[in-house]
Amino acid sequence: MRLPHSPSRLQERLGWSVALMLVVTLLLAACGDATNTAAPATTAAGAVTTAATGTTAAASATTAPGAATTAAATGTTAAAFSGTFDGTIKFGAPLSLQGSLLAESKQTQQGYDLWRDAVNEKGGIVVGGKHYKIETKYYDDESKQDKSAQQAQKLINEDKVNFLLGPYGTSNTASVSKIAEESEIPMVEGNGAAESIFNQGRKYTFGVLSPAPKYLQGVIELALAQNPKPTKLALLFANDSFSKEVAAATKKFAESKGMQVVLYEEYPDKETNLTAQVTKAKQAAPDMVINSGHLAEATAIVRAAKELGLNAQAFGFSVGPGLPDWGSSLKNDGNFALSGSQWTQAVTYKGDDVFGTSKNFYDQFKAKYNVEPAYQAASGAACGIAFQKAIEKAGSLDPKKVRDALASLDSMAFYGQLKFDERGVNIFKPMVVEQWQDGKRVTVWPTEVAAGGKAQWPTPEWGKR
Amino acid sequence: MSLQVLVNGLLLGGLLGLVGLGFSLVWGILNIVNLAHAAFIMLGAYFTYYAFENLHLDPFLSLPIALVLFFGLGYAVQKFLINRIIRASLLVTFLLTFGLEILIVSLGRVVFSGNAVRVNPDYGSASFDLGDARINYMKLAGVGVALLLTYLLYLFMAKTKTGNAIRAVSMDLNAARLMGIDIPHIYCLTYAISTALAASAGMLLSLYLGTFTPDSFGIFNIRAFAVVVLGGLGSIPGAMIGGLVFGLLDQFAQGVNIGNISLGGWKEALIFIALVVVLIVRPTGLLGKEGYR
Amino acid sequence: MSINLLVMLGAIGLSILATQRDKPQLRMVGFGLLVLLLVAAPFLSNNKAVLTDMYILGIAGVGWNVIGGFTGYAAFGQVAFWGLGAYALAVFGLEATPAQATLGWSIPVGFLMAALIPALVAALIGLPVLRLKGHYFAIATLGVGIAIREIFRNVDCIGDRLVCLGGATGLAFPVVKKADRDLNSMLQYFLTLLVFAASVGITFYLSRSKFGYGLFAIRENEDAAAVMGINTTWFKIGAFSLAAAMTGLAGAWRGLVNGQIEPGESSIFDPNISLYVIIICLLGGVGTVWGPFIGAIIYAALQEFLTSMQNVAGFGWLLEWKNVIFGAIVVLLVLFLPKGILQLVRNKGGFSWRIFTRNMRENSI
Repeated sequence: MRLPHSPSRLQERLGWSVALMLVVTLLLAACGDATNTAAPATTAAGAVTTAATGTTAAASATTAPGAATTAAATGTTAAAFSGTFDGTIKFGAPLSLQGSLLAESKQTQQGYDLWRDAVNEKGGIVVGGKHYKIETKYYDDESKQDKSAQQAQKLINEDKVNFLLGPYGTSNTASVSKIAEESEIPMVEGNGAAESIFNQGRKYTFGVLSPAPKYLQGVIELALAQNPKPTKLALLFANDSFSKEVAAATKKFAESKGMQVVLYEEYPDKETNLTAQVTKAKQAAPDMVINSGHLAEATAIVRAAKELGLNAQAFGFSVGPGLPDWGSSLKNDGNFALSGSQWTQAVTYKGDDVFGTSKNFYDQFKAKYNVEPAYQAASGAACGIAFQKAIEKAGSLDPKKVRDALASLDSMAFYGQLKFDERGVNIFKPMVVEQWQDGKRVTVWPTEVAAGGKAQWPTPEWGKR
Repeated sequence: MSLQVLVNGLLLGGLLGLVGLGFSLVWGILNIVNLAHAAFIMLGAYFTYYAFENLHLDPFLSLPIALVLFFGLGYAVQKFLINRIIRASLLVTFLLTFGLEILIVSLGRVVFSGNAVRVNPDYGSASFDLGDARINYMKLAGVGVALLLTYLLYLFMAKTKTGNAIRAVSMDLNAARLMGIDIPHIYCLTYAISTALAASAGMLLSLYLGTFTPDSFGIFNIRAFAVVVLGGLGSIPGAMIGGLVFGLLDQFAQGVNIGNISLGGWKEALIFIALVVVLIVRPTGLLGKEGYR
Repeated sequence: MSINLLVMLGAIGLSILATQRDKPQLRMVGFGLLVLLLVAAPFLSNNKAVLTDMYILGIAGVGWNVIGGFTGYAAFGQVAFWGLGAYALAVFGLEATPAQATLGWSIPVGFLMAALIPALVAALIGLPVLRLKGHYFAIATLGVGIAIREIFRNVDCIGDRLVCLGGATGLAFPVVKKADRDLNSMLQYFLTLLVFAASVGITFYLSRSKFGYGLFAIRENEDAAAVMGINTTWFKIGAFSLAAAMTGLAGAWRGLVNGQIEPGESSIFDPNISLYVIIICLLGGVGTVWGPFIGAIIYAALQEFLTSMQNVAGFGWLLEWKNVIFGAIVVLLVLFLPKGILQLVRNKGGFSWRIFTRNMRENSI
């Protein structure tokens, strides 16, 4: 029944409907823009009803005895906030929720979320007597730098976030740092410790982490205080920028302390089979083996060391033993491993933040997510805390004033001291060292924050564990 | 000392040979570069992991089950997806398998979560010394499995009627059709065998890697490429030879210094420059010939 | 719904109008409105960076279309030229700082080099590699892509700190002051749009030139083309270099936008770039002039949609499921529309569901 010319008419109809769509598009676009400019994000946001916050408060009261302890520790605000919020403050971050960095990134997000909920429960961030509710926005950057950069702009321009929290990974952080600088929106990050990020003279990027050169210093210091004292060091490191930075600094530090680096071996980033490197290490007969890399490589080294019978007084890792996956996957083989860590639940700082103590943070985190927090989670929460302190100090949401407040911030949190040098790096907080002992992470260094943990030294041979 | 490097190279090489074998089969016969290969390897590794953790099934015992299951999976994928598109250009099939790879790996992340896991049987680190080299029993058994599967495939292709039919299809499609060979079925069979081989490679890799996540396996597509090119497309022993050559290159580049200089960081660059050079100088690889054998 | 998404959908619709073969008036109207829309877009959009990024990937897609679509040589290592371009811009364009030794001639020279150097490298690599065919060519280019990344990873300084590539740390681009930011992003938008339009223009010209006919001849039958007196070697090298130059330019833009480049898989040498440029062409239509243009917009719209939805209440699960959906879409598109979206709108008999079944029948056994 089709008319001979119907196809072309169909096509024409298609064409005109498309044109119509365009007109609607333009109209909508114009209107959308108008509403966006008419309503600046922070001022107008209506009062959020108490009912919602009331229920969350009740829920958390049942889960965490921590809530009570926090209140006691900080003593600043009531246990649960029951007023109305006067506005919202939006924080945004691109995160790597797919790709090889998923586990670490997930912890970061949970750290941000835990901080957000804990603060909101207590009445949010108080600026000039007004209570502001914290809101977070995330995008998945798939561990890709270009996506991070794009999403940071999306967060600033479309979602109108007030401040940026850090993404995961060095190169992603570097990219977002540039966007933050250009938009003059402060970013506090807890996942990019490479010096290369902070050597650009940027003013809007702050890192709560101890910088890369310090990552494994504690492990070396710990080792030098032990008996027998190690003298020969083998260093295996991935050839990505962060791992190389850590390795170079560790080598320099160890040599300055009189240790001899008998092997300084680079391997391709993401290499999953490290038998060749472990074979080399075995020939060099080191007293101590140190790896600067990632989780997959650290576990590959453990596997190869066991198989090839590489024994040393200690095995130290930059990344790996800090993550819960270490114990769940390696089980007994993971014992005795040392790791430099930004934070552990055993550190005994007395903070005046929403969590107060590490134990409190640990309990709340465990209760909410049913996993142990790694330092990535604590760093995430610390980013939020730094912002909160700075905003309250500045008494304003103005990005410039908050930036200045961040630059002059000196505050003690459960995470450690939050203070930034002129580059924006937190060089004031020490790294801690933890060791897996009988399937548990024990903080063993420095002694003043270790809460009694002692390093098991030396590591027994593989056959005698 | 370099004996250990040699051993490491051979143990890795056998495994890579198996990784390349299934890839080579699909490429040589179906003329498809199968980017979903690594995804099936991933699935195979996780199958081994769950069988080991939940059912306490030894990896070497769960392998036959995996072979059967993945044979079925591969057959279905070819029948319902790839056969629908097989006559389109090279690019189209390439992208179909790329889409499958994204789909399966992303699904893996959701289902298996991104947490690192490990398969570690009690005997995992038992080993014996040969001169000053230490050889791991489990990895040796792994190479044994790889060689056995390669040999079985070789026998199958050379001696059975179906195997001959597969070879015939790869040599001359039209002649094969005229001989009454059921082409779609042969294609499905080939892809099914390749998938089963991928799963077995995944099982061996789960024993080989320190820990793994769904993202740990993407690199093996590139490895498979290199193995097949080195060994020569369209040759079963070629894939194994290619794997061994790759394994030795890999381990010697990382394990032996030239003077005082370690080539560890340059390894990937060297391997892929070598790959391109082999392609240019001898595109058929070390053992490759026209057709399949 | 974000304005960018609306702009993209509008642009897709208008480009479909602009490609109607037998309706000259409709074509003119569509084309005019399309130009109008894209010129107006940055003033409407609150985040033009997304559109800028769309053009950047589009430029590389157009580039791939020259070698992969017109010439029929499926290059799978375009990321090599993408990265080379970014590094060329950084090395020649950036002022040297204490942290990094670069030549600092000027940004325009940097962009010129970002096109020239990849083209030159492509010619050198192409000389042996373009002798390979089919899969072998694809894999050689894949290998080249990895090898070049690894070389950048390992090489730090050339000469006595004359030029430093930064090794694994890479190079950083300077920050633009906030006062100049609006102007700067506007400039970026229009320049990338211009380059994108120009590259589509070049392929349009190509498709009607002797050189272009030569490439088509090579695609259809290389031996016959040689017999016809076409110097296939030089034609292929020309196409490969042109593709590399466009890809290099695009990579340079991306480096500039990212602000930092390093030879890692998460940075400027992301191997997926090689695949994205192909997907773009495939979405639109391989070997057609408009294909990569429409494909780039469709691809960007898809990504923008899946990203924007992540923050919509009730769609938080998309954070995890996004790539599952993306993979499924690729599979479905390849199955049902292997010749791209243009096949739908240019179909002689008008739009019909039968196209899907016919495709299926044509390609399956």
